[in-house]
Amino acid sequence: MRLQRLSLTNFRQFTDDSIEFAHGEGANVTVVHGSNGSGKTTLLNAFTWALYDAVDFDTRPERLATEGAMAAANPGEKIEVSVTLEFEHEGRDYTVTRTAMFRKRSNDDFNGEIEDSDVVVEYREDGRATKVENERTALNNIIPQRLSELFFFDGEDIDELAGVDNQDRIQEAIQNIMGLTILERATRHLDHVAGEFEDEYAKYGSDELRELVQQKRDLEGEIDNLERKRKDKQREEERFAEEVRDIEQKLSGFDDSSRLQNQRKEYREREKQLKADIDNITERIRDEINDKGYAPVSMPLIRETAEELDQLRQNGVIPSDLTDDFLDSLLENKQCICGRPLESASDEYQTIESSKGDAPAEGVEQAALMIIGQLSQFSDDRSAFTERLEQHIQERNEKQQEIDKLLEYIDDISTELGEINDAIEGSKSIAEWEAERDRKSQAKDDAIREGSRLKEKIENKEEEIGNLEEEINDLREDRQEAQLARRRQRAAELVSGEIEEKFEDLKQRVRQLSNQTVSGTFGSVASKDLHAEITKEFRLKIYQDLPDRRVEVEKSTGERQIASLAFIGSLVKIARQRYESDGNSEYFTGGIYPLVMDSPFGALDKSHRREISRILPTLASQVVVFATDSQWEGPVEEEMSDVVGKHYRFDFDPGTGSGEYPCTRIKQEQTPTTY
Amino acid sequence: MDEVTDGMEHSERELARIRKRVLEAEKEKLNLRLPRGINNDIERIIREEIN
Repeated sequence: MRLQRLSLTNFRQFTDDSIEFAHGEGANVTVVHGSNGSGKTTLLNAFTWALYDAVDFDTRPERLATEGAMAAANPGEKIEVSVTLEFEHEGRDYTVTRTAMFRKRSNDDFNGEIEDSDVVVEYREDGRATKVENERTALNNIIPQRLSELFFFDGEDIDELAGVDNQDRIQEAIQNIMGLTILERATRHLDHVAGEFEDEYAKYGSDELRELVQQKRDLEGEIDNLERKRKDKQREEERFAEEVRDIEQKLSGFDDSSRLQNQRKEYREREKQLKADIDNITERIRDEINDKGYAPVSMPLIRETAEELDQLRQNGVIPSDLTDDFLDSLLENKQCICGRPLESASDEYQTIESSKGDAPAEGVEQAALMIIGQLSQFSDDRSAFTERLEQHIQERNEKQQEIDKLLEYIDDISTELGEINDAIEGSKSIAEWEAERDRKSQAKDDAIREGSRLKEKIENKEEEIGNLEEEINDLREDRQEAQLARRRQRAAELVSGEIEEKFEDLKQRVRQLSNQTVSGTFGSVASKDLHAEITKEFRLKIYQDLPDRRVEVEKSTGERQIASLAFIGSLVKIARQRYESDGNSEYFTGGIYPLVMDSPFGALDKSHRREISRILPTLASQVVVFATDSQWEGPVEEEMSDVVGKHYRFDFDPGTGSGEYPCTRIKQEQTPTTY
Repeated sequence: MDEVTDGMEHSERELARIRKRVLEAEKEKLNLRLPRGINNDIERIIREEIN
């Protein structure tokens, strides 16, 4: 399928617009960009509406006709909505035109009532126009609707493609495109038809033949029953295995919980110890202050006193020669220092008596002398006190900091524990969960055993069927109808066998090829330690390489988007490669598909946008990208500008004024190739 | 080379034709989730080719 042109009339915000698509070698990209809400998703829906009468709008899905056209119409008038898609496919130029007539019911009716809808599919070949009768089948054969979401995709949803819930779609897409589905179905249907012909053979054959065929049918019926039971057991086994895994996850949550609780307990004990240490230090500080706290406080006073005393000393006042006590002793003994007697009323007696008080008191003088003498000691005491105090304070601060850190750790653990405990639902204890795990494990083992037993029964019955078939083969039936039926039966069986062989062989090759391509595309864009893989069951998984092993990772939004883009791009690439190398295969359903993407860059960072932009043009013969202006400008434009064959911009008018309605015009921009 | 079974011969061309037509019939109905009538189609093909 090679897109040529898309034309819209009265389709949502597009009154009368068209786009031509680039398809040249080296300039195969068509880009359309505009502001949010300008019509990118509408354009994507135009494709699916034209091809399949299917739309997926987030807002007002019932409003297909242009608001402006509906507003201008009178009640009762009809508005025609149409989309025409022109494309080339396998040598024919197709035109698909879908129209719908909407009748305006009242003045304020903007949705309209759909009165008529039609699709016309025509193709031109060798200059002759031909109308296709079975439009739905024809269009589905060109690009199947079930796969259309992959080729016309909304980038905002695309990251879900690589999610767990969409693996069936991936499986179906690969098998469908690569012809596996056809082969698998053909084998199954041929086997059924072979059985029909065998019944016919028996019908025209002898009683003995009928008896043998009947026995075979009975055995086949029994095998079908046994197979159903075996599949049930298999599902049971898978279910129990999953339940066991869930329980083990819960138990590991308990283990984690237990470990974290122990850790938290240790931290709390350490916190308690540190608090006790801090109390001790505080006590020591208090003692220190009590003991020597005077030193810094009284130091200025002591210094001032010492300086005054020192001045007295320098002035000769202290140490004084005379003390009051000494003078009293002279007066008492009535004897002067020189030895002369002192009479009470004598001048000498009075002189001595009057000298009393001039000398400092002995205690004070002694104290003063002590202060002066011990001044340096006071200074040393103060320094030592200050130093010790600082040490205690520092020690206390360090312990406090350690406590703060521990509190942080404890908080983190508590948060983590809260999350783990939320995940461990129910009120079961560890012992109860373990008991349940053992029960489920046992049930799983029972299912496996029963499955094996059933398998053995099936094999025995198949052997019996083999024996019956030999007996049937040995019979020689004379009736012509019987012989003919027998031939037809054998033909069906032989063709079925051939196709089954092809199926197994192709399955291997398809898986290898799709794995290689997806892995290569993904690897060129994603982080280097991540790998994408298509498994044997055709599931898309992402793995991370660790030093000693590889683990499946829960994909981030960006990674899912890359994986999905890589997958779709690879599918298109494989389909094209197979078409070009093996297009005449009876069962190959691939072909040349375009890639039409709405906002594929949304969840990606700049670096990934650049990488995706670099590889996108290589994945399909035609790539059509709708993007916002901000997505387009920058790395995407830089990488893609050389390969853009057609460049358009949405000129969006939101129609905010009275009597105005949202409208988008598509304006063509110049590209390097059109300069 | 022909497939010989019970004296009933199937030419390779015969089988190739059946295979081709069966696969084409399957391809026509590939996009249907339940390909109704396909068994009848295949039965008819084989009756036509082996008669």
